[in-house]
Amino acid sequence: MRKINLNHAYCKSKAFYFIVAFVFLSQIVAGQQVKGVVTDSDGITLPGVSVQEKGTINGVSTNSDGVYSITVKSNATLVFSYLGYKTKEVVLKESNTINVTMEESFETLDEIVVIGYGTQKRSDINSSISSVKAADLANIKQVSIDQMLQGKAAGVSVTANSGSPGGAASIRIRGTTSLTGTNEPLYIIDGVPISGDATGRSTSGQPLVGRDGFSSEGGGGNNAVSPLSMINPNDIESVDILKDASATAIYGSRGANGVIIITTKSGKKGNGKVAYESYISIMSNYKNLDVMNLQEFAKNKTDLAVLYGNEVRPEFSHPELLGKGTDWQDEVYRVAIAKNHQISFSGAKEGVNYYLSGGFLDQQGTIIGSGLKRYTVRLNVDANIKSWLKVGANLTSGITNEKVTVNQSFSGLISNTLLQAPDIPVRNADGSFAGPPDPSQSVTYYNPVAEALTRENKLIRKNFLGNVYAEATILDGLKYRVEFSANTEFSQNEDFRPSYKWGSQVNLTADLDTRNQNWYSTNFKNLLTYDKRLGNHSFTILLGQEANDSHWEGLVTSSNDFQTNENHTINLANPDNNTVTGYKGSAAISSYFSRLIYNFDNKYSFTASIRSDTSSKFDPSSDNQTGTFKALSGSWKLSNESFMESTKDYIDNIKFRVGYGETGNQQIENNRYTALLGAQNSNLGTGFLVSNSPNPFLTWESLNQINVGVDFTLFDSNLSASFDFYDKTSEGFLFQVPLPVYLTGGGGQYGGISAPYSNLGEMQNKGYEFTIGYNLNKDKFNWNTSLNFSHYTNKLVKIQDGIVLTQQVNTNGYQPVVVTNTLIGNPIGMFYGYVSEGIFNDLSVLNSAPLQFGQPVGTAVGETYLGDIKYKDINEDGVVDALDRTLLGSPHPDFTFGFTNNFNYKNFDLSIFLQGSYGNEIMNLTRRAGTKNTSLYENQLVEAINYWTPTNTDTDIPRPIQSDSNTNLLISNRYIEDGSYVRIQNLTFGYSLPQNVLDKLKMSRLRVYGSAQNLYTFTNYSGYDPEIGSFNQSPLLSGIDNGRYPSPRTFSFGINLEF
Amino acid sequence: SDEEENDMVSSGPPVIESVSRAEAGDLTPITIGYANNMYIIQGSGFTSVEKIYFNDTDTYFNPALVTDNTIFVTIDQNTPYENASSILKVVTANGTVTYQFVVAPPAPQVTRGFQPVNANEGDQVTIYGNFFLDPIVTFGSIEATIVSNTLTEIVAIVPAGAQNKYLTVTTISGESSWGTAVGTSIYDDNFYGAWDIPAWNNHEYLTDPENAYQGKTFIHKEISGWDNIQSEWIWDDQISAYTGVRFAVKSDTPGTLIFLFNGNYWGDETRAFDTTTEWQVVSYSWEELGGMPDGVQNISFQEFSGESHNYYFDDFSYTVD
Amino acid sequence: DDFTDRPPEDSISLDAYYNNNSQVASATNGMYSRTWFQLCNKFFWALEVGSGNMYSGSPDVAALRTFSLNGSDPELANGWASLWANVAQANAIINFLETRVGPTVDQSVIDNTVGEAYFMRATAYFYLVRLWGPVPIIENNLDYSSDPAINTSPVADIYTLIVRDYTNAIQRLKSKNRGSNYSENGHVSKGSAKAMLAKVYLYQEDYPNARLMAEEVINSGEFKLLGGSALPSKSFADLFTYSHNNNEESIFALQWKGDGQYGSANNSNTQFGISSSTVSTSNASYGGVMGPSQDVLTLYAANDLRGHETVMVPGDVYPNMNTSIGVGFTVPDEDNAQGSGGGIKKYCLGVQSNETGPVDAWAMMDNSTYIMRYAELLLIHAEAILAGGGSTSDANALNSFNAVRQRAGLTAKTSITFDDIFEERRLELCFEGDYWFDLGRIDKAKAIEIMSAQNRGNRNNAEYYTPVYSASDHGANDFYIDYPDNDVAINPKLLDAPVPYTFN
Ligand SMILES: [Ca+2]
Ligand SMILES: [Ca+2]
Repeated sequence: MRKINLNHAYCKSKAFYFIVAFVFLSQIVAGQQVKGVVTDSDGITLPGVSVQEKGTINGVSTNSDGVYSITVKSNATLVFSYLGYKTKEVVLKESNTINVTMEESFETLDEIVVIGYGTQKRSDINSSISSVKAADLANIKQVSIDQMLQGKAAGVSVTANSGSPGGAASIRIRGTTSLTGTNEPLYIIDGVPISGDATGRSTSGQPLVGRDGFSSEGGGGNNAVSPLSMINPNDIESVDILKDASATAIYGSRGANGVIIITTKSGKKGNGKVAYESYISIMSNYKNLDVMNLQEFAKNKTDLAVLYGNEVRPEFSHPELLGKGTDWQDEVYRVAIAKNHQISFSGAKEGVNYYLSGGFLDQQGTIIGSGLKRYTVRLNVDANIKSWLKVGANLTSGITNEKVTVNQSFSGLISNTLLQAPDIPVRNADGSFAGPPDPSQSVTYYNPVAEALTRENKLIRKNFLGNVYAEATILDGLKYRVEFSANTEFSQNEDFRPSYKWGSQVNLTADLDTRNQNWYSTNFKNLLTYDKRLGNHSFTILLGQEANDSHWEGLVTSSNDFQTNENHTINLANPDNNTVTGYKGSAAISSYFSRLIYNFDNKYSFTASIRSDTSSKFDPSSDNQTGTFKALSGSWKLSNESFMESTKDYIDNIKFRVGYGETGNQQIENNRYTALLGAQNSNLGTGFLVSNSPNPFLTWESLNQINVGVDFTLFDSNLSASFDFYDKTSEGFLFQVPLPVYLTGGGGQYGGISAPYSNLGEMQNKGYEFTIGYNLNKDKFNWNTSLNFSHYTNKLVKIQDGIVLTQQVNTNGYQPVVVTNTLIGNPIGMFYGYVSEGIFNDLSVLNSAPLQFGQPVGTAVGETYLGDIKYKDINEDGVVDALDRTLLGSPHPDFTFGFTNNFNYKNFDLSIFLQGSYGNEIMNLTRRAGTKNTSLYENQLVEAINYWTPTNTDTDIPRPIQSDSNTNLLISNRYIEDGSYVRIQNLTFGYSLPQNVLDKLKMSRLRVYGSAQNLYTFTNYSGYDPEIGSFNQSPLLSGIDNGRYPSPRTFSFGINLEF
Repeated sequence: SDEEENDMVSSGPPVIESVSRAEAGDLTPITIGYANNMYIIQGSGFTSVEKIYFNDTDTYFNPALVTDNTIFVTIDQNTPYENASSILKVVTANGTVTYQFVVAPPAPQVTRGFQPVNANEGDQVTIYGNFFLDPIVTFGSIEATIVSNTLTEIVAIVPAGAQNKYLTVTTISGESSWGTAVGTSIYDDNFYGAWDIPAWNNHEYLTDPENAYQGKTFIHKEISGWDNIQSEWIWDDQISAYTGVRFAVKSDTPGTLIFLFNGNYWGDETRAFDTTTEWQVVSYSWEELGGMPDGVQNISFQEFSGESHNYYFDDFSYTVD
Repeated sequence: DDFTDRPPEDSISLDAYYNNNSQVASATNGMYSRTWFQLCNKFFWALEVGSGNMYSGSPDVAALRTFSLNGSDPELANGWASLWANVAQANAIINFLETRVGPTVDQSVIDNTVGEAYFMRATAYFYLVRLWGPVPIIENNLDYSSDPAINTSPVADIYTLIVRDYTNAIQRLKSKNRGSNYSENGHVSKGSAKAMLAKVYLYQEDYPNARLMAEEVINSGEFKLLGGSALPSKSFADLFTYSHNNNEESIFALQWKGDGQYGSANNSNTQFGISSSTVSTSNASYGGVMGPSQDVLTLYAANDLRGHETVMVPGDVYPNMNTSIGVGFTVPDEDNAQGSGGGIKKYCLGVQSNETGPVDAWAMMDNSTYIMRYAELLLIHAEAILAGGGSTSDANALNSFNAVRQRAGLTAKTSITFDDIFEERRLELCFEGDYWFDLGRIDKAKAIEIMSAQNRGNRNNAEYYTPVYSASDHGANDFYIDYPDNDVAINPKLLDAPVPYTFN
């Protein structure tokens, strides 16, 4: 029994004296001693089951063998409760031995929810938390967990930023909260915090691949790599998403964007289990864009040449004799294969439970030459060493080897594939790669097939993540837990471009860029939890301390002039040209926190938490380093009131929740509080330039959120529903002060002095979301369904005067164009440009229209004529110019939803999952590039043929002008499309062998299944895929399709085995 | 996915039915083609084409411009036309086909005229130019006998009746004429008659065939601003057959000159003309020179840009109708 | 506490540096390269397109060709940023260095470093005032951090600042004699500051002071013409080779060093040169972003040795230059660079070889960019003696003027006019970023006449454009450049009338 506690060293502490006394007291007022064993329905003993004498504060819990012993009054009633099981009451009779079998509960209200530094029953939660279980994710075959959450939880929006294997997704929990900082949530994986920011802004800020950073203006493209792609989704037991600040405030400065807590699997009590799953997937692009074939191209370019007054090309003199030419989409996209094997060994015995797994994934990309291989292992062990001491570890390692494809870039593979001319062959007759014969025909940057097959852009990542803990029960209900975790990753990127001559396109000497980065972070936690129930009062007190320490360093090299294309280590390059640069840094957060959860009579509940974080991002000599984040929430279970007794037959449960919480954000570059000297080379030697203006007053970006919700279940808990409304305001964005360039010289990057960071501005997100689930059980048929729905509105409330928040993307290699703007009173990242009023078809209209961009009426380049776009004079000053740009549309959806249905009949299972987004718009720059009609050598969409001529006036494609800077191509509402869609995201059909057959095979499970991912999309969007996401997760560059790697359609066939 | 879908229709060995010029309009079969021009080969069995040869020259073709029935191909600019096989050969995976097809040289070009210009019947003249393959030389319509020729030079005998006639060189690829008629020269590589430019001009004669306008030799003088180059004064009144005078001129950097005829026009800016770094032929009819003169006495030039330039002159002659 | 105190690990805190002589002496090294990059990457050469020396159809650098450059132009903004980066860095040293140096640092070292900062600030302002006219005078950036909306200052005040700064530089900088050990010639000297100041006086038409400064430089013997009488073994051609970085003629040159970061080296080899269907002179997969204008193709007399080293004309032979087709090539009669039909030779080193020095990942090289060299100082001297007169036969003027001509293989003149000097400056300094400013300082009617007569098209299409001069309307004046839109949005006062500056 608990006597041991009396001798335990911790008890000498005065702080706990009264608690000890309490427990002691409760034990001596005893009458009858009762003991027994608690097991589950399979006969497996359950440790830690709470055994309570009803109506008293007297209670114990079962030991590691499931045995309990309690002294109670005669005729008392014992209440057995255990998370995940139905509570059972037993009235004492004569016997002093009462063995109890607990029944598992499938009611959602009894599920365990991870709330951060602890767990709670769903029914006791006061804040807004969505949970996703392994079973909900099992059918979704994705590389990383972030993409699998799409459509699975209300208020959580997930968009894949790229269809490439391992590409980063953007997760927004209840809209966008930060303007320039990251909006990605914090992930807690088995207690290890990992930022969702794929760009590592607050650490190194360096990409894992590429040499141009994450800028949308450069040629680097969408190169952010998912920080979660190292975790094998199969190992995940549950995902809990903390959405409102009353829940996330316990994570303080890191909780502003929501917290996603991922718990991996552990062994279950019973005999050891071996589970094996294997599947093979076949992926393909489900849509090709309709670009011209060679015959169409030949006719079109001949017509344009005549129109432009250029010579016609003899090879196009008889289009009818030509073939279809090169179909670049066919050449570049392929049917890709993915193979996946998972095996796990798990079990629990004699106080030890274990889970050991291995996974292997070999996934080709649908673009030739791209792909990802991943190897993962995991070991989770928990052991009860003593009755009062439990230790455990979660260790995982992942290695990925990725062949990277550049996408969402003007020079990216996707754009090249669409625009490359069909008269250029992939290869010459001798097998060598071909290219445009003359430089004037070089309209795309390279032969995309040659690029994909000869450029070796490899990324190897090796990640180790582990967490060990020890938990001691000091007293009944009082636990001390110490936890140490570490996470480290080594990544290696090698981008080798061989020398080549593809037609007139020449890379004279081979180039190699490498990036080697390693980082590690450690996290140390001490937690003290006290759980107590006193009659109708129960409370949980948490006291905690946490320290987080991160270090990173990297080495970037560039070399060229290799003697061969075969071997290309740096030593084989011309040593004169080798350049090396590096970076290094560290950051730390030190925290203290406390939480009280109080519950009265299972009717009223109240949670309060406070956390203090001290961050190295702010001036260590000031108070600005430390922020305090508070939260309060409460709930009322109306259904437990006595006056509701009569409604119990149909309303099981009804609970109202209200919460308020504060969180923060500190994810900025290091040392912005002080002025730094950055090393700068010149031929005179290394010198130092001042790189930034300091702001010692810099402090936290803060977020306050109010959440109001109601949960209820009806009809024997078969119908469950949850509604939430929230209003959150972020303030004091960590923002670089928009000083004029004459004071900054353009910032540190090019030798100027970067403006200081400051805390500026305010943004608001309001929204509501709901989830409705229903269960139907009839004989051998079972149906459960769940619908979640989310809506938010986003508004920039305040920002410093004069700040310019326009964002640019690069469309042709050297002149970026503005595509979005963010203005006070509007949602952020709105599409921005001119408004088209159609095409000029009437000279009198043209002559009386406001002068456009100072261009006189006429047909030449630089003049406006019939067939040109008529732009609206928004400010009505009589001329059309840059002042007439306006907001054109919104990438923010009116609502998003996910709809899951699972059916079971006998041994068959079927699930269908739909997901969608409504009311968001897309800026289709791919269509812009495909309908320009400016070049005689660039391929275009077939619709471009329908350009305006004096005899073809009923069209939306303006007259062709041989200039890429002609005003018809300005960013306008012409390129804005409805991005709404409904997608059959997953359809799975499975068959499990019946139990009697399995018994003969000595197996516990054998299931075969087939599934289709991304099966069909209902949309009016004309591009590849309406799911665009954000450019490198930037909140100000969402919904812009500049040649995004389309998400493939995937068919998978697999088998699950358990024995 | 490199396999073309139209492999399906691929058939047996290749067959060439016709070759035509790649140009809009009806396709006319031809048997003669030119380097650097594109042709359409029609027939069948071309899908697996591996090689194309014109006159045994391995000729690049664009696989994207090949169907089973058609090949668009440009004859390589370095295809030989002299002593050539005149065979077009298409090699596919299924066999080889040959086709009689002549690659003609480019049209002949008379680039530096002939020398001497004032040749008499029976004299030999040398014609300078390019692409002289199997040439025919005519003066007016009278064919001359060719003594010898290479691709760049022809030696021909001046036939009777050639005086004041223009020379033309003709090959299967076309013809090219020269703008100075036989017997009309004042200066080609030499002066005729009493004509000369006195040495005090400090001019020089450059023998530099690469840069001559005509023949091998031409005149050079660096003329300072407003300065001049002057010929001897003589008297030539045998000019009734002629309509005016002409000459070729250039300068090292853009300059300006005045043509001084019989001592007239000194300093007359309305008579100034610009010179460039390229040879240009300047001609004046008698009308432009104030009507048919009694005689030609003097041909000189005044610098009129005011800057010093290097001026070059060649091929002074009379013009005929 | 200590745990959350994370000082930088890959940079240095401002307060922890400047402890010894070599640290102080190296403080300005970066101001010879990166701070100038955004100017010299493209915008400096866009000015040569504007002056009619270069041709380009590339929209990032071609706006001045048609006099349609406006404040939204990204390269204009880059040029602006670069000059202000120099002002900001110079101000940091001028205002803060002396209070932060360690006790062992010699005063002479401090003086020289601060002198370099004055030199850089003056030079940056000299470009600013010539490009934009009235701009804000900023002597300490921190004065305006909380109130950045400041007025511009009148042009005269900016010139006052420039003269003061160069004078400060002259007082502090070391004297030098440019010898054959080129590695010692990189930093500017007293002579560099005097030479720049001579040019500034010339722009102000203060001829006596211009002459005085020029003669102090000439008489010091610090600099020599490569291929001039003092250095007959060298030649004009050597000026633009990598091995002659910081030669005896160099007065102030930018000191590029490719270091793996974009923006550390000289992009001219790729921006200039040729990238035709048969030959490329750059390691990049593109090249010849700017070509020579049609004017410049025929600008040089056959016997002017500078022609072959300045502009590639079809038929010109470069036997030693490495190219995509091997060492040596004849300029083909093709479109070459931008349809110009030729190529820019100056600053074009060719594909990397032993002679070119290293090339970085962006195909940029380490050849220095001249801001001023001795030949220009000699022409300034001649012009200062002419002093606005019709012509001069002054022996000193002729000595200076003819030294430049004779080095180019041309005959001496016995009397010179302003037009002679003006033309010689174009011939000598073509593609070095100065002709735009020369056109901007002469009589506007004459400049407009010159510019509107230039064929500003390519070899296939002749095009002519006429610039507009308006003394009253900054925005309509093609001889001044628009303020960048983004800065005007933050501070509309940039468009207001300048407010006289109060010097301390
Ligand atoms: Ca307007
Ligand atoms: Ca001759």
